[in-house]
Amino acid sequence: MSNPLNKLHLKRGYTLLFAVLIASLVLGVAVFILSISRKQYILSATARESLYAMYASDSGIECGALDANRSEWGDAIEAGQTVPFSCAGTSQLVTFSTHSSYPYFDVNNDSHSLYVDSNGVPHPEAVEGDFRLVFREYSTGSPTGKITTCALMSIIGYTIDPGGPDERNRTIIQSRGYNVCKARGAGAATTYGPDTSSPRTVERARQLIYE
Amino acid sequence: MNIIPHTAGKTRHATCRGFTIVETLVAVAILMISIAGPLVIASKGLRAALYSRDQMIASLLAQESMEIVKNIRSNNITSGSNWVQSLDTCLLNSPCDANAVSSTPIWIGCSTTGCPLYFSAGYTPEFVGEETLFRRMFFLTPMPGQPNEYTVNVVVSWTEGTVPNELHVTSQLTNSTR
Repeated sequence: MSNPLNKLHLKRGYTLLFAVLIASLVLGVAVFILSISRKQYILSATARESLYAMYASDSGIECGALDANRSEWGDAIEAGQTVPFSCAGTSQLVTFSTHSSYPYFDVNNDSHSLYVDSNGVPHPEAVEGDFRLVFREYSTGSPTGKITTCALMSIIGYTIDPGGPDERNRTIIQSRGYNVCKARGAGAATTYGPDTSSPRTVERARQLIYE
Repeated sequence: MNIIPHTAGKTRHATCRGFTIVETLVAVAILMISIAGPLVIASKGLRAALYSRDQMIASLLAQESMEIVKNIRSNNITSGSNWVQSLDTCLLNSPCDANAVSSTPIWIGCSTTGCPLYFSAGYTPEFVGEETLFRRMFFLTPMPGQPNEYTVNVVVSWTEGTVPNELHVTSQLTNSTR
């Protein structure tokens, strides 16, 4: 025969059980909303940072394509050639040296067809000049504005079909833009490059080719 | 057969009733804490979602303005005009807005806090459609000693409740025939 006292004991704790269940349910919904919002926030922040990096690389291309700068290295770039490069409020000397490997990136992704000769090897006469650019806030026209973004630049030049009927010079300007930059070196030798230790750093790259 | 003494049953019943009151109070307390906390989390989450949406719109609005400026520059160069024609009047103290929707791509006459944007088949500074919470402007800054180079600044601002937000995008603009 069942004990009525045991039944009484069995009914205990239902209120607490329901409280905990409802609390868990509400907490679950809240955590779900928060996790979605967090992802949205990260996505929108990445889009913003990506925009900064994209315009850093675009600024690099603008500087590289500037007629005044292009006329300094001319159509045929030679190894050992040192040319002045001025843009974004800074002037520097760019030294071109023999380039024996592929560029940093290949936007065509088709076996480097832009960078190899008919035998499939990188152009042996290709020369490359690498340098850095930093972009500052110039809203007030002051050259001491705060650092906003920076770019790593590569200018590659070579002759296509040397001595042949289609001989022409090709120049490839590559710009890799970064949204978070930090100083390297000190004093007059200070340059700015990407802060690779920051998880916020985004790289966007652009390429300009002309013949 | 177990016989429960009357007095003993009464005592146990009284104990059970007391426990239910305490239990209910504890349950109410748990519910209050555990519902209030998640509700705050949820409201913060929804606010963050709204901010994310507005930030994404602001990024695209800034990009739109920048691309229009670069497009006008390129058109000027290819048509043989002064390369910054109709852009060089847009300076820090007299900013403009780029208008992608209308046939007038440069909207002159923004205040230094930017032009309010309206929505009518796209965001526009023209007074058509509904006013949005975004303001936008762009201005050029000449680079000292470089006649062929400007910095373009695009600023998109908006207010979330009472919190002001701003997105500032800059890019170099050069006189390049490439």
